[in-house]
Amino acid sequence: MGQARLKLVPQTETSSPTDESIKALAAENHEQAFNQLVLKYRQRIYRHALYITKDSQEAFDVAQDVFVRAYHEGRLFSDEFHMKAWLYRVCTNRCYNIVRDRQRRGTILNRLGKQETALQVHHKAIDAVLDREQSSEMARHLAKLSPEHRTILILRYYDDLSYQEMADTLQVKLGTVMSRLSRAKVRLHQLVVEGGQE
Amino acid sequence: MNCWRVQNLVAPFLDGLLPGAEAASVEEHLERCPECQDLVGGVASLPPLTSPSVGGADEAALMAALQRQIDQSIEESRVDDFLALSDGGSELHAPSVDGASPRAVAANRPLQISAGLAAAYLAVAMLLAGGVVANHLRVRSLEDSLASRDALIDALQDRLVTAEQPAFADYGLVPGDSPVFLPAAAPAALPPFGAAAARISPKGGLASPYRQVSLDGMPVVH
Repeated sequence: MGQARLKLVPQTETSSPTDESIKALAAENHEQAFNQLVLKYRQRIYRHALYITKDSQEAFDVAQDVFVRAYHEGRLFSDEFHMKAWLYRVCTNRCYNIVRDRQRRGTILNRLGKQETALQVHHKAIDAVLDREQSSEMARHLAKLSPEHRTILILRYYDDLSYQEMADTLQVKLGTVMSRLSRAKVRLHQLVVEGGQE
Repeated sequence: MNCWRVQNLVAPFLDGLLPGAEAASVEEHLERCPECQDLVGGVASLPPLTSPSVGGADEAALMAALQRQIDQSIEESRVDDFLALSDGGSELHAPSVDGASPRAVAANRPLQISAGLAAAYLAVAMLLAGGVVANHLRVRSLEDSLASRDALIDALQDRLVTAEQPAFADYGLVPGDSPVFLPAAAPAALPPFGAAAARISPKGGLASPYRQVSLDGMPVVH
């Protein structure tokens, strides 16, 4: 049987230092190591928040919050600590809190109190790209999935995390990642089939 | 291997991440299960999930702003941490010019806090001192009142007239001989005490005009 593979999207900022080298640097210069961590992950965390919230301003605020919390996380550079998984986990949880609050309110109240700044131009441009691509078939099907299935597909195919990194991020066993990702893809396939029959 | 198991392993199977034995078991199941063949084939043929194509100058500008915001937030939190740890802020200096920066104003905060604390301590100390003085005055007042009451009692006692009571010997009785004497004082109707009324008791001496009874009311027989 031919096994076609889902395309893996290459990640940005490829020439960044490894997590191990950042941890090694932290032993000598904590501030510099933290700056490297932000530089390496700021775009990935912002984008991950963007994929879930679908709002550039909210993703921006979440990313800022995640890194400030990381700065105060005492275990951040300890040997056994999974920095990357921790960043994605905190980001994911924060995003779903925002999405849940938004669903309760029925609108994005956050924007009402925010001042119109120069950054709003860039936020609007990013939101326009998102809105345009949300209309694609796969994006529409992805939006219909449960948060659990949508999250694991985003982590795998948008954020390009490995199975082990997904397990660390979601704090579940590797077998759970395998079965959850499998069921998410089966469900996505069902939605595609149902969409083709309409 | 069954269909349910295959459905839960389809993703790592297609990603080539299953151990050899388990992958072989899945393939073995697929050879004899058309439904799972359709399922795995359908999942394998899904269009690629590509992330939204955000990026470019807009995202670069946002990332630069994000870096500034993170630096600023961390700097503010460090100032807050420092202020929380400082004990009174005597080593901090107040801003020397008007229109001081927020950080300088923040640095002046401990001085304001310590002044407030001193005022609070002073107020509590004054309240306590006032309470002690008021309590002392009240005790003095009570003592004066008690002294005047004692003087009144003494005066009343001086004016008391004590009546002469007939001696027990007049009745020929010795305290302890009889359990009870009724009545306590001789009524006027009793015969005058004298030789005519007196009779010699068997024990000798004068007989009492009073009837002796025991505690239960029965006559006492000697």
